[in-house]
Amino acid sequence: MTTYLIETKDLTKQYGDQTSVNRLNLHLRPGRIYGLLGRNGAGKTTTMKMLLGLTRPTAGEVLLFGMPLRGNERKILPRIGSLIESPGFYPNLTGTENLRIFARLRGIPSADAIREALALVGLPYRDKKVFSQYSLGMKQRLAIALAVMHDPELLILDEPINGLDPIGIAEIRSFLRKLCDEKGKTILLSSHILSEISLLADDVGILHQGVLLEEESLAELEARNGRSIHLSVSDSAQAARLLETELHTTAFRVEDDHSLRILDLGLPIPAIARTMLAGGLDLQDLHLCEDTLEDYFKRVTGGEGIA
Amino acid sequence: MAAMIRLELLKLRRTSLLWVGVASGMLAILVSFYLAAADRMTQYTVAIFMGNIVSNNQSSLFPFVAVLTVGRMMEWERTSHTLRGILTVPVSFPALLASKLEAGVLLTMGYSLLQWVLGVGCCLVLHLPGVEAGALLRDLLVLAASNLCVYIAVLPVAALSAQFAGGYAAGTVFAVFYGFCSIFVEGGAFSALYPICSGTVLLGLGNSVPALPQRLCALLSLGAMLAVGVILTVTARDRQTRRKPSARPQKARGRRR
Repeated sequence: MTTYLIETKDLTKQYGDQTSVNRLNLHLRPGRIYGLLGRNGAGKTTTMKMLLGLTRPTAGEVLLFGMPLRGNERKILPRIGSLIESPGFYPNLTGTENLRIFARLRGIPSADAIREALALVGLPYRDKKVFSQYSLGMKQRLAIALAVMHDPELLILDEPINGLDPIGIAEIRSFLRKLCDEKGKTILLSSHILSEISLLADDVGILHQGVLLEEESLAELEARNGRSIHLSVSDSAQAARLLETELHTTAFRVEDDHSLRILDLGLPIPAIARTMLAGGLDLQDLHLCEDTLEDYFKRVTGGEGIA
Repeated sequence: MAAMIRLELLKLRRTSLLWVGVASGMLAILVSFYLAAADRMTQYTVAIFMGNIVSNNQSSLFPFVAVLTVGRMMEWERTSHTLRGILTVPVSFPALLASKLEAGVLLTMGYSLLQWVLGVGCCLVLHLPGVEAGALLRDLLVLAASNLCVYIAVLPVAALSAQFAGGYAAGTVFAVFYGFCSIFVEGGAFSALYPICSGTVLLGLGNSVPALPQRLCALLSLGAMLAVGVILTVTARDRQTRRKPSARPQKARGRRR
């Protein structure tokens, strides 16, 4: 039986008569990066809040480290580092002062932990700048420093790259990957940015209108992604006839007068080219297409793209 | 808990909240100073001057300053989004509120000390009779004890209003009214029972020396407020009144593994 670091059982959250999260069954394996993907308002933050005990579920159960969260908060929560929504710090204090407050609350006596956490995210130690003067990217970095300062086994990060510049995004991506690969941390992160999830996550959960539509490893998802052969010819009707009569396949779709999509990937591309040319057609384009994660996302969410 | 109280005081660095306390403390002194300078009919002494500060604190200033300070300290956690970070440490909401209320006791002592220093300065400027080390020390203790009694009297208001997002404003308004009503009660039959005035009775600061039953009533009144304050703190929770806005249709579809 697989042991999950995070497991939810029919987790549901209702606000009045609106269901924000609907019977969610999430499974996060140790040492993996799990990307929770969904549009704005899909229920990602609500899910994360329930995982951290910040919001009480209407129904269902949260299991963390194999234990129910409810009643075990004091055992479980110190093992988690989190960033939920916007970074929360005292605007009148410097970054170091802010981290010192949380370090003391967590019982971390050493100043080295603060220095190291700041160094990891590229922020200066004992800087005179107060948090309210920080840029959005610096605030986000400080929030990540806070999440990792106490060396937690599990990180729950809600939109961790929000507000970061492209270089910052790449740095944080590499930092998170390193945390997972070298230190064995398990990371649950949410994003509405598909490319980020595809670049970082090992497992992906697609959340749409509070419902978990898919939960797969990224590798499985890519393998199952729609693949087809795209064909541009002078006459698609004639090409369709050739496919049926010469290549004996009906697994294709005529898209317009000049293009077709062949779904039978068993057909060799050179054979298709030869058949079309032999049939007297002008061949403008012939290539293998693969759905992007965005195409896949659109398909499983019923045609709606990402935010 | 001592560490948490220290942290609460650290969080106040560079905030204007402390200046509100300083300004209101100075206001009590200024009113006393004005009375002493303008009232030619009374022979003012240090004791009367300090008594005026105690009275001004009790009826007008300290109830609202105390509720405002604790309420803002908790509101600060919400508006700066640090509350969820603290709750996931985890520090419970009651423990956080308790640390703020306890930090409030230290701030009350600091407020009293500041007022005493400024009050003594005014007495020296006005050349009031009665500037003696023993009397001044007694005035400091009375001022601190009186402010502490007022703090206990408003403890339930502070503990309750801090639980609601934005609740400190309503709590502060109520504290102004609660303090102001003490003017009508003070010296009367119910003086000992009205929590804001209980300190005056307990410390014997009125015009007549209170009898033992009155002192017991005052003690009981403050004890009841302390008990209610403690109960409200122990059972406290973050009462966010805002509902999550969402207006999308429900849809249960797709497959799940």
